[in-house]
Amino acid sequence: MKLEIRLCGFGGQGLILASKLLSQAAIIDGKIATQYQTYGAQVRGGTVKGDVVISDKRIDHPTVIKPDMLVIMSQDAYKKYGNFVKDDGIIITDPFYVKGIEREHIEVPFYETVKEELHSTLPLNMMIISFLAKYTNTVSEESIKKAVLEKIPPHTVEINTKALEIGAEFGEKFKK
Amino acid sequence: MSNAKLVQGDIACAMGAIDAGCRFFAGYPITPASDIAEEMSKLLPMVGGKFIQMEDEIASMAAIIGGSLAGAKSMTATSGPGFSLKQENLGFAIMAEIPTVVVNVQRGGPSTGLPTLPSQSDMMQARWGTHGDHEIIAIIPYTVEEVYYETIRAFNLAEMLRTPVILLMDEVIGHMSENFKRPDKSKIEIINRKFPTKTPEEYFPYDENEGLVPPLAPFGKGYRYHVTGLAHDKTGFPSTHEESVKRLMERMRDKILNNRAIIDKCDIRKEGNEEIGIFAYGSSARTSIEAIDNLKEKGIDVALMRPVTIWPFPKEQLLEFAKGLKKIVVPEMNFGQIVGEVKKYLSDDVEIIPLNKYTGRLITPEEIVDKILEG
Amino acid sequence: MDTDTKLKYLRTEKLPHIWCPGCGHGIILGALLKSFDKLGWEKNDIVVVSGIGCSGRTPGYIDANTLHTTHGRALAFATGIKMVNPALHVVVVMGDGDASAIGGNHLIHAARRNIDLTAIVFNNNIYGMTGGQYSPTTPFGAKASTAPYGNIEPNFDLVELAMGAGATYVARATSYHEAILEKYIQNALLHKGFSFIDVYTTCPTQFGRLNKIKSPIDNIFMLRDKAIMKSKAEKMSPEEIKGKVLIGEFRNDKEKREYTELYDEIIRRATKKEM
Ligand SMILES: Cc1ncc(C[n+]2csc(CCOP(=O)(O)OP(=O)(O)O)c2C)c(N)n1
Ligand code: SF4
Ligand SMILES: [Mg+2]
Repeated sequence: MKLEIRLCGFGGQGLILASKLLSQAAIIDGKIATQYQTYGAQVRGGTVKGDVVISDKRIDHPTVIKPDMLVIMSQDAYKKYGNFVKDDGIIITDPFYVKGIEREHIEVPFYETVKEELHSTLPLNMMIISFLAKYTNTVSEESIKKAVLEKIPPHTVEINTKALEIGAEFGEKFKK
Repeated sequence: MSNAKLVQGDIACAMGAIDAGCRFFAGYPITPASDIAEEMSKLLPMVGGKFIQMEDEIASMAAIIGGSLAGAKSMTATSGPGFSLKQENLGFAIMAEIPTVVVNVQRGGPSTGLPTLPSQSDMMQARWGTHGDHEIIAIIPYTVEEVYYETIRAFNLAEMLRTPVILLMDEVIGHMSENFKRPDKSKIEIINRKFPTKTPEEYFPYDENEGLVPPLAPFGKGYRYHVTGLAHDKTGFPSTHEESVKRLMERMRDKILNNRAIIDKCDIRKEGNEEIGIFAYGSSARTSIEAIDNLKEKGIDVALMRPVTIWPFPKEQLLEFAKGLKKIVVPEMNFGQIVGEVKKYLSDDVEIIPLNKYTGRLITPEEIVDKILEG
Repeated sequence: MDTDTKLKYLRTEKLPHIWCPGCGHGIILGALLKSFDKLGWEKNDIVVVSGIGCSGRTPGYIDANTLHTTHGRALAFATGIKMVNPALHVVVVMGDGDASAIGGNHLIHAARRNIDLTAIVFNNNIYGMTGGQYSPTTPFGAKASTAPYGNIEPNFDLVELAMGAGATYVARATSYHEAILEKYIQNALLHKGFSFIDVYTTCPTQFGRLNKIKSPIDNIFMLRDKAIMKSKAEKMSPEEIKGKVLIGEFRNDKEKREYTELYDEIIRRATKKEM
């Protein structure tokens, strides 16, 4: 098994942290993972991407060339990275941020959901990784939770845990 | 469950430095090496060590030489433009024989170039960046784990041989994160510099009678002596006397060349039946390994030579590796710096095929596979 | 007696020194050696660091831990030494070009940090070693081998520079006024923090030759004639002061915290895991 995931969007959405947490969770599960990011000109606001590779065995070439899963969280990121995905790869977009996609893709309302259910968009990234873990069946829910709890400040535990639960629900729902 | 953690290359370098016993770091911020400085500023005071952000890279290199002379294992870390600025004082450390570790996380150049993108274009600068004839040790790890262990080895070699050691990484190796388990302290070998066994009256800091690497007394421990970047005799005082210059130059050369057994490190993966080989280092070696796996599936066996110590150049190992090979592909993220060395030592019987990329992007496994299939 | 005290800290076997007859550098060296003796400092605890230039040869004659570095970078090397072993007395001797041209950046930052180093500039207003090229302290209009028509660059006042940068002890002396020089060096050595002395001195071989100040003794008289005590100058008119070099102690601030002490506090906090 080798799965390459790319999260792209704009700075401030927490996607780079998300890519790190997803990799860390995979490692807690006993897998091999790499993580690598590209920053735009500015850390806040510019286009960013966080790449994750999860595998059962050693990962050689260190970065993602064409991902198996491409999560797009901004129109600019779509323009920049939308064409780079494996032939049988899956594109996931948030309809709140990305519109007018011609290729086959799955729309997951991450933004609207966290906003409505949690009255905050901060845990958006948490919902995404939890979704991905469930949807791809590669990372366990416990490990995601463990990786997240190691990194976040105590007062955000409740809201982030909620976001993880919602993400997992959605992951299950969108799985065919 | 595993107890490995997701660790970034730059952070592993800082961990390795701390575990090697580094207690002084001086640096100046530059992408993609700043994470090393940031981590050192946090870790060093926790172990009683010291960190300072100097006014530039010239000062950083100077400060670590001073720190090392005062007795602390010392390191600086930088990238291209800063590595250029360090060159004069790097030469001072070579001439005065002061152990130091200099990290260069390579990014695209020349000049400010590509600050956030990888390259391997300072390979020759590491070899010949400072003026004057000299030998140098440069190490180029290819994984986060290897960054940690090779940082420790860089300190060991620096302290053992009284010389600066250059640790070359690249933006990807520095910025990427992957599985790493910090080993138990008891599992790592730490080598400290030799302290003089002689009394201060009998001590000479550059005494040939002490072998190729005379012991170095830290300043302030009762051994008063002189250190200069001028050519000097065994006492450390300037001398232009031909015989003494010759002895100094040759000893400094030989302490590297005669200690190749401990300096050299090469990862060779060869079964013996291959006709094609790849000579690759750093992140390009990772790509090469993936390409080799892909080619194996196609029924093509390809051997790999991955120098971990790139300077001094592994000539003997290359000659051995090339035996039986018809061609050797040399992928590099530059115009072809190391391929020149490979060509230098091999006869025309082996075809040397450079594969170069200088756009700040990693070479891909596909590009290597294509190169091998096409030729 | 005088000779004896100098000899005590001198590497006599390294004599004769390389300096020209009438060069002021030797006088500054003498004052430094006598100051060590006055303070009774242990040789093993003294580090003397220099850059490159005629002044850069000074440490070679001192029986201490001595380091002759690269041009302009002495303060940066010294910073590393002091950081790693704050118990050492670290003295940095520099030429004017060394300290204020190529090493100007290190000077202002060492001063700003207030790290406990004593910096002494052997300021002969010229690049002595390389043959009399103009330096940042060459007076406007003076001749230099690279200013054959006269220097058109305004010159640095190194005392102002050091004060502006945050040095906590700042003084100027000359190699003519030996007693004053010695006193300031001792004050500087005892000062906790960055201490700075600009020593106005002679280079008969280059500055004197190019500016028609013929004999070594005339060069030394130039110091005498140009220098006036700061306290005296305060009572003089601007016209009277014009072209003069003010000597005296310009700052002696004991309040500002010293760098390595502040860093020790960082270590205390870090080892207690307080961020
Ligand atoms: C990087 C570098 N540039 C230039 C030189 C050549 N150089 C040696 S000494 C010197 C100037 C010395 O003048 P100063 O610092 O005033 O010292 P003095 O000789 O007057 O005591 C120069 C430019 C050098 N050694 N290194
Ligand atoms: S050239 Fe000038 S500074 Fe150098 S030794 Fe001679 S007189 Fe002194
Ligand atoms: Mg001068």
